[in-house]
Amino acid sequence: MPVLTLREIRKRIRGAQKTKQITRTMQMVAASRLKKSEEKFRQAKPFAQKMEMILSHLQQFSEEFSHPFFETREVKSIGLVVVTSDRGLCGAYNGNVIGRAEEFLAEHAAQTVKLMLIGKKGYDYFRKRDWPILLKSLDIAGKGDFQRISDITQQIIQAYLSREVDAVYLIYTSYLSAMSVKPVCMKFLNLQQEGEAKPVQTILEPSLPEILDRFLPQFVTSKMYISLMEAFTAENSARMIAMKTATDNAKEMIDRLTLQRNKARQAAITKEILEIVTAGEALKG
Amino acid sequence: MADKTFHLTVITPDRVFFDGSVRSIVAPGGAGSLGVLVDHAPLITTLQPGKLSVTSAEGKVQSFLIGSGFLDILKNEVVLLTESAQIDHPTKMS
Repeated sequence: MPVLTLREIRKRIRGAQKTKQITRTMQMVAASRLKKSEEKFRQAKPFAQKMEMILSHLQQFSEEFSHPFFETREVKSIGLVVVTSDRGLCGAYNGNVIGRAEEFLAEHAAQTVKLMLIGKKGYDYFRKRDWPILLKSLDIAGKGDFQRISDITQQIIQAYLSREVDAVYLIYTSYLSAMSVKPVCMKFLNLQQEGEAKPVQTILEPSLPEILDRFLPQFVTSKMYISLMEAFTAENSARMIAMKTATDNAKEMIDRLTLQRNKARQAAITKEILEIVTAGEALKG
Repeated sequence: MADKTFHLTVITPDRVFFDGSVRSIVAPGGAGSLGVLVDHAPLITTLQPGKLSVTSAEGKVQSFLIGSGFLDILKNEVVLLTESAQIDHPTKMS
């Protein structure tokens, strides 16, 4: 550490204090946003769960099940949805997601991967690189507007149905608790058929194809919605933690600089006294 | 017979709108209006936007406006998923 003059140290302390104030405010804002989005995520869960339940009920008709969403295709091109944040200052949040996406791209080098980017940070990163970007959606973070998410899902479904892509994967950040967030990769389309026919006799109105036609897009939208809600919650939690760390670091820096300042001041006083005493001695002599 | 009820949940993407014991419901099914009482056969149907009326366990009738959605009945567990739901306030004009 270079030796600083008293004035320089004071300037640095003031700077650190200002930074601390800003990061603390941002931490507070993120905390309140986290609370809100966590609540939203929690309330969105039952819908998604019941959608899964209905799907599993519908799957008892697996013999007659035929819908493009369940079609097994030879996968030539893959749509990859990457969910990042629109704004920075959230620690490793975006880095982790992008890292996971890069891994995915390396694994699927044999296929054409087309990107669908949600969030500005992912777009900023990938637009400089040479993967085709099929669609991008910026500025939806945190608002959790069902209508907009539904529109995006429609576009993804369109891309799938028009055979622009043969499968869709989704990379987003899962949120288990405020301390535990991690990027995950999930298959989004086509849907996997699972479960064998159960002997429950269920009446279908009007008919299975019609129900599937309406239900499956809804189901996919709901899946998208809940995933995005989860990602936004994770984003806020990452931001809160990043800002808390920044505040703590600023605090530590202020403490260190204060100590340094006091020492420097003390040294200056000692030096002054020494000078006076020496001068006095010299006059006497 | 009179106090036979089943469990109804009405869920929209952003919340659980209704959760409780009811005696009967009348829902706007995709293939026409649909009444459900206790011990209904398993059924899955689409719903049109319209009026959902619910007779609660106490016999009180409530009316809701719902968007399009789905109804799933399995062993007295009735789940109604819809895009949107709100309480129907009867206007004086109609």
